[in-house]
Amino acid sequence: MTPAFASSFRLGLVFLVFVAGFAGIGARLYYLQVVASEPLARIAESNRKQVIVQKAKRGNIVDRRGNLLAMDRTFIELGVDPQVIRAEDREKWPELAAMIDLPLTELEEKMKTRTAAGGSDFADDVRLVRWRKLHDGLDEPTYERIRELGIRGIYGNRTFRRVYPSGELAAHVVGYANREGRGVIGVEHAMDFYLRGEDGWMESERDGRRRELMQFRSREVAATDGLSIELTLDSMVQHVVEQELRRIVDEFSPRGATVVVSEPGTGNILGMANVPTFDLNRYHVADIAHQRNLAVTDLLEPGSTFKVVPLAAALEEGIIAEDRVFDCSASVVEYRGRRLRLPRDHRDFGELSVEDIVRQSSNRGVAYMGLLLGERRLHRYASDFGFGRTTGFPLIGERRGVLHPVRDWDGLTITRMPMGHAVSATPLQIHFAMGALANGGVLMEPRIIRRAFGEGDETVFSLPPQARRRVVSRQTAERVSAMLVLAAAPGGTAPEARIPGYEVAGKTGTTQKIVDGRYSNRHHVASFSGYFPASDPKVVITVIVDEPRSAGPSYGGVVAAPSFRRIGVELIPYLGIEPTRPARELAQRGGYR
Amino acid sequence: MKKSKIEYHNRLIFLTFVLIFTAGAVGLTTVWMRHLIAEAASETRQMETRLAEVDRSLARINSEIATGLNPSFLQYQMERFDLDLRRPEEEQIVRLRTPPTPDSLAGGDSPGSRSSSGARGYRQDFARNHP
Repeated sequence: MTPAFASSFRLGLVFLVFVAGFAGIGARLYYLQVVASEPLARIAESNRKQVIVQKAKRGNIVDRRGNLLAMDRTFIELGVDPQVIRAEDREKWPELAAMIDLPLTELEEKMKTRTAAGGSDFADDVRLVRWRKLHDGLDEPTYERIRELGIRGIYGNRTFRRVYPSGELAAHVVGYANREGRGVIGVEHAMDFYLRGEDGWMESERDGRRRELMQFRSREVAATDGLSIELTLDSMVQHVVEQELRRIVDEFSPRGATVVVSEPGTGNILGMANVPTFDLNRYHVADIAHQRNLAVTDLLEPGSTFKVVPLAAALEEGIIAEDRVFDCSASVVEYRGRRLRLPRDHRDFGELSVEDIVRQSSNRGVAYMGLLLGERRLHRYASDFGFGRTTGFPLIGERRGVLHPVRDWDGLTITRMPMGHAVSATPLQIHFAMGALANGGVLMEPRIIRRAFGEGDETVFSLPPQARRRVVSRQTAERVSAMLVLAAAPGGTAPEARIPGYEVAGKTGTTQKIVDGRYSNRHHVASFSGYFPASDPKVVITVIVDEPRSAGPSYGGVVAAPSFRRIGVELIPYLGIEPTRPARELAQRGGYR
Repeated sequence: MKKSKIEYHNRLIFLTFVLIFTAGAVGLTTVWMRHLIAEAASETRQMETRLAEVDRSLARINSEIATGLNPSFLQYQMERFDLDLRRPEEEQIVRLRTPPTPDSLAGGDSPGSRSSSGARGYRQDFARNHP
């Protein structure tokens, strides 16, 4: 076998071809990599590289039993590319129009419009339309049905959107997040930092069809979903409260109304609602005034519900006892060398014991207590009960109310403040002042947020109940409670608040509103704040109705006290509150009324 | 002498071809591996898509359940189907006493609340004073 012959010339030729080839490649590489490297690299990178943002899912808001109040859901923004539609799909258009609830003529117009004005000054400048929006909130099943139609050029983009499955329920507490995913009011705003989570991102490459090439993912930071928030609110209690508010609206057509229900021992708010209200899923069309949480943003003179403050203070200081008698027929008294005119009562009284003063809600009676206490002590107790200070309610918009320092008081304040004039407060302040008495003299901080939790129900942090301060001793609180039971008993100002089988303690309030700088005889705020069972309170309920319109007088005992009773009766079986009187008595009375 | 030169040239050509084939094989192997990686990535993406679909459908179902459990909706359904459901009357309720917990024996209620013994004592006082 002879070895193959290879001449030097041929070898040289092959070698030259190789060298020339590699030299050409080398020269091109030099040009691409050195001379034109920067702009080319930029172009290549921008064509291939992409940074994909991974949106974090906003956390849910649930009530204390885990019922969803707010959550993220995907919706589809449906559109059409008019450049690629086919004539043979035309017969499917009516079906599509029906599915997206769009008139067929409008759909046809959108499908056929292929060009639009280009935006320059030239009249004939046009651009091709590649996307016309057909619907911006389709749900998944409808989108699936549309896809099954197989109409070319119809496609959708998924977007997360906040939904509130219960609509109006607890609207002022839950609040809402806007289209950008930012909490605007309520818990959505207060806990926005925890709810919204952290968006993730990844660097990747894409192919000619702009599809991601996952194998070229280089850096990736995973999205951290937001935490979910559990409230102290109970959907059922909230529903009862809102149902009662609807009834108040039907019956009295008020300017506004607020109801708050809480547990005295923990300060847990179980229900908080106002009218007017709004639907959280349609916040964008709601009147901004309806979005105010009146329970914390609106100030009113507490009226007679404030009388518990001088009463508790005078008992605590040992100035009075239950059987101490005051002459409530006198209209003028001597105080520190001055003659002071006492406020009028709603009817003429003679001598009244402290118990009777509470039962009859005598203005003159509590004015005497104010005089016995003096300015400084009255101011201190009012402040300790939470008036003139924020309650610590975590949601936006809380006002502190008005409790003037003693140096700014005029000569009449010492007799007017005990009856709830010359001081203004939010419904929540009135509620928690009453709650302090229900809680043995300890003022609690309103608690609406119980905890934040992540996936798998794992608690990340919790907000335990917070006691703010002891206002009066347990004994004083119990003595006041015993007297407040008289107010909600026959002969008191609020017999309508009575619940058979339960001792109800509470206080009515009927406040004249100041209109044009004067107390008006036609504009009232009717209120009732109370709790039961008085011996071991389980719930505190406050009902405040602003400017009720009724044929009769708009007293708190007539307007607000029946609402207290109805709410209480609904809550008894739901919260399992035990009667303090035997069930036999209940049966004789025909059950709850 | 001539023969060895030819052999040398032939070996050079052979080695050149071996080099080209080796480079080609390495290139093909790389392409094949990249193809496998792309396939795996594509499968991963499909799984991610399916997972996202499941997440979406779970969110939709949760939302529908939440709407279905809304008290207003339940009340509407009750009226719609004329179920005539009512809350229980007090005499229909039987309360079961749960055994005391160490916490309740210690009188340790939640912060700021009455202690059990205090509440009990007050209940007795209250009953005495307000028969």
